[in-house]
Amino acid sequence: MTEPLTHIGKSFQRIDGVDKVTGRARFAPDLRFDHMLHAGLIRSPHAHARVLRIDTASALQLPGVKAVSTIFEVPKVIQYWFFLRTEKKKKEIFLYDDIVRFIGDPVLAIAAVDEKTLEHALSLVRVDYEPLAAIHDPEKALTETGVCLHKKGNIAFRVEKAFGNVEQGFKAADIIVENTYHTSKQKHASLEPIATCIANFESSGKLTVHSSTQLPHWSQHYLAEIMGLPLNRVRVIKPFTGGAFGGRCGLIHGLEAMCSVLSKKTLRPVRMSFSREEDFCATESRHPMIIRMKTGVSRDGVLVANEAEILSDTGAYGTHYIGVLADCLSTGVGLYAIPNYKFSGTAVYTNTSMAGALRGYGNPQMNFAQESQMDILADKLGMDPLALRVKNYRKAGEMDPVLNERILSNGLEECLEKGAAASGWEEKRSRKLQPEFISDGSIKKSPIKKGIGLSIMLHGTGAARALPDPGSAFLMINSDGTVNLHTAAADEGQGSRTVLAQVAAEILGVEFESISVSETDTDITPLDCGTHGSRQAYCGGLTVRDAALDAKKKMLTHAGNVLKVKPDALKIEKGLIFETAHPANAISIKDLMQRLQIQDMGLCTQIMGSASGIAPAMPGYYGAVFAEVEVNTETGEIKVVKLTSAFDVGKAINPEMVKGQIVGGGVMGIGFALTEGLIRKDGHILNPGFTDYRLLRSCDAPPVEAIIVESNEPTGPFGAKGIGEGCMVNVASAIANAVFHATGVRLTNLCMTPEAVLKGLKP
Amino acid sequence: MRNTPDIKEFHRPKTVTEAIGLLSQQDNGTVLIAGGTDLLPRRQSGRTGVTKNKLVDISGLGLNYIRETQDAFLIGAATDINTLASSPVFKTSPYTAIIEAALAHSTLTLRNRATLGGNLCNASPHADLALPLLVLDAVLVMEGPHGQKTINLDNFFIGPHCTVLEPSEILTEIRIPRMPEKSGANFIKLTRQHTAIDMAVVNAATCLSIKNGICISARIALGSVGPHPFRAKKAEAFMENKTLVKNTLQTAALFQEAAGLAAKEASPIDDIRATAAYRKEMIPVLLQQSLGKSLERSLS
Repeated sequence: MTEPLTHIGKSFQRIDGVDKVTGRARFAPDLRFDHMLHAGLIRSPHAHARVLRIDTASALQLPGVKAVSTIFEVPKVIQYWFFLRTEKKKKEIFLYDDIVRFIGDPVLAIAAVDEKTLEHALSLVRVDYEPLAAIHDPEKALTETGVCLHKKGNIAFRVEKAFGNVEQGFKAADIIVENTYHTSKQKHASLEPIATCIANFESSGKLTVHSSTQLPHWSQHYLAEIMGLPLNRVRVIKPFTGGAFGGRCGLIHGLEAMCSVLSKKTLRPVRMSFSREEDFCATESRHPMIIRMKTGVSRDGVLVANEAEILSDTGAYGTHYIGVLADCLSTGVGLYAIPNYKFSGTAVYTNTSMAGALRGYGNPQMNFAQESQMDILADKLGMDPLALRVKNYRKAGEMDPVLNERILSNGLEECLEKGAAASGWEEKRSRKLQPEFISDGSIKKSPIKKGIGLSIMLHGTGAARALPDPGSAFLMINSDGTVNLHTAAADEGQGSRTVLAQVAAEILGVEFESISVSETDTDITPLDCGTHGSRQAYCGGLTVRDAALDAKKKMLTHAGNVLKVKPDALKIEKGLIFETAHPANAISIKDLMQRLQIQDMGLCTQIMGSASGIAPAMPGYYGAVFAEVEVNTETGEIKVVKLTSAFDVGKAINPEMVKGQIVGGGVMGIGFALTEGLIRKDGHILNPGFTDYRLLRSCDAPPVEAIIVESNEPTGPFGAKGIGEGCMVNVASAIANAVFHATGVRLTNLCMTPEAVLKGLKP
Repeated sequence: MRNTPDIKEFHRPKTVTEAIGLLSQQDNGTVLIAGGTDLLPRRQSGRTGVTKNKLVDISGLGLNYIRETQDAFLIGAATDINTLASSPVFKTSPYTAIIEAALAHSTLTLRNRATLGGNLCNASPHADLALPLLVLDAVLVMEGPHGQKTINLDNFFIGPHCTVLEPSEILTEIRIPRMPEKSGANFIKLTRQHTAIDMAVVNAATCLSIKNGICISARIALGSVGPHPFRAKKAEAFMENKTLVKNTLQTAALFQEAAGLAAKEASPIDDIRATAAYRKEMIPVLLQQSLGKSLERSLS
């Protein structure tokens, strides 16, 4: 693109912004339909039990109760993987059995005319259980033979990969460090509670489902399988969504399946919405991991070998356990050019709520271990941690051995440079002696120690090398020159509809306001993998770009006929098509469309552009986070004073929205580091609400300085790649490294608690 | 969560007598409601109050006031926390500790609903407002079918969410006696985050009265580290008659010793906010700071 860009790199206001701030936007929980029934669940009070008998007789006798479905007829969808790719996979996906495997596991659903009747009905159900021995500790799951969560055992998945020769690598190392890291069970805690669905099975045999899913076409495919319906009889509509962060992948814990079965029985719309407590206790979380990592480096600071052994707790059922470990592998191996790398990962089942996808997808856990190791090594080498990163990171032009792809863009060094400058890294880092200012009474030193730490990260954009990851779009040019863009690139609040409208406007040469972007609706928007893996600006951007190019080509062919020139002699600017050499020879898109669609009765054609397919790559995007902390050595409190986050996004299509992502990711990362995490005891979640599941509030959040670096990814739309997940990935590691700088205490467990700081300070 | 029984009756009496009448007639399914910020969440989560489904709302009894007399401040039990926090009456030492605790109690919206009497009667082990009132020797006025009686706040709590208040009695007023000149008090709270939204890991208040450089009275109260907020009386006794000079090593050593004594009087437990061991370790840290501040304020 040598032409100046008109719409890319400009911070257009969100197309749904006004609707959202005025409360006009309707989210799934806002939706109501005539004759709608309300459904709710009986959930297991046992961590592990066999269901012996379900007695619903008195509940069914209650006036207003319309239907009951039990676990024997509604499957648990335990495997979201691979888009139902093979018959074998399909069989493993739906589980109908009589075992409940965590406290909160659904046993049955009831639909009733109103919520009050529903609650009464639920209280009348009697379920007899035979409690079974439970496993709560992932390490026990490895060795325990008497307790078995699933037919295949307690080990869900194992992976081993080796690059080079790690034994020889360690022999050549001058310094080797080995540590074990533990990470917590973080929740998505999106603004809109995680799951609301209204399913409406019509007597015509068509099922329409409104759900706050982030993968509408996946939901459609699963529902078709479960309900035995052809795909054109299953319509999934995704209304406005208040954040997803991976918690709404595919069917949200079978919620849509339960509602659909109940709706089929009653031929009425059936609504179910999980409470916040159900969200915290019984929906997916981040995988808690135990990561043992051994890293070797030469005296001059060249990484020579790394060994990572991961134990991942996937909870009662396995959904994303393969992908999450695969992401640990690809981001761990991909970030640094380490010639010898040995990776082993094991995912185990335990009797706790299941783990799944959550922003970062394994990478925050892996990065916490890897980037802590790097900081320890820099300290032992007496080397600037920044210089150690620059020396070892995998640069553009090198091969990524996991993806087997050449890295085409990597702005990491610029991220480090700009972040270091903005955070005052050099000056603050060289402050070896902590400020020992004397408090007012000349009695004692301040208990506050200041520190600064950094870490870097790599995250993949999309999943083109990992799974079927289609993207599609089509757009229609109307007779007044406006444009309708149809895409199922589900906007969960990140702003993808706005960004995609900018891409379409740029290509078509029309004003931003001329583009109208559809809602996500599988009846009218073509196949898309939905929102996951930081993919929509890149994958969505590519398909919208190609669909717009397709429409533009058709438009210029017709315009060429009208203007009596070849199409390639034409240009479009601000809705006007003109001959580049003779700008006076011109026709507006509006006039052209009038002519094509209405005036020329021999033609009557609408210009439509379409594109569909998989992205050509899954380019890595990169970032550096600099965290400044104050640690109170008397109480152990860690206060993050500021984050400086510099991220290489290829090209920022909408810079303000990119910054919004970076700030939000920074705050979520601080939560992951310091305060967020489900506290569990014997399978019970002890903090199932915002009082004690401590999310950072706006008053808790420090300033986050967001810096955009643009490395121009050659395969991306206008050079763009991802941002959504990566900006939270390396915050915890940066904070741990800052705490070390401030106090000399190395924290290896998340969340980092004041108590752990104090323990570390004791001689 | 789903099994919270409906509220069966709701009364809003106009007078204290009428309210007591309602309480006396009813069975033990009756509970008072003022701001509701403790009662309603506790009902919803299936804890205390869940079986009580007849509510007597005391917001209409005229118990929202702060008055001054020659020897005391009188606070109506239904006075909301924000009114306390913004009251000019408490802007002088040592009463500022009340404002500190009120501001640390919760967010603005909660403070607008929650009441002082509610905070005391709920008798949470970490009740923020109990602490300054304990060190200021507050006296509670309770009314029941047999008339009015008064009790020191120090004798009010008997266990977690448990007080000496009879089911037919209402706490109507909190009296804070005027303290001697040169008294200083402070409230301090440690939370998981540095904001008022969290419940305390440890909270404490201290009050020191100084005459001719000598501590004539010391009060030390602790929260979240025992079954209810309490005074650390051994530590208090230790402080009395000691010569205190701010910012000196000798006084710091005295504070350290007193704080260590107070920690021994505590019996914290592990919960999801912190372990017992951490709480115990934090008591001296907080108290030394708080005593330092109280001393400074007593002299200014």
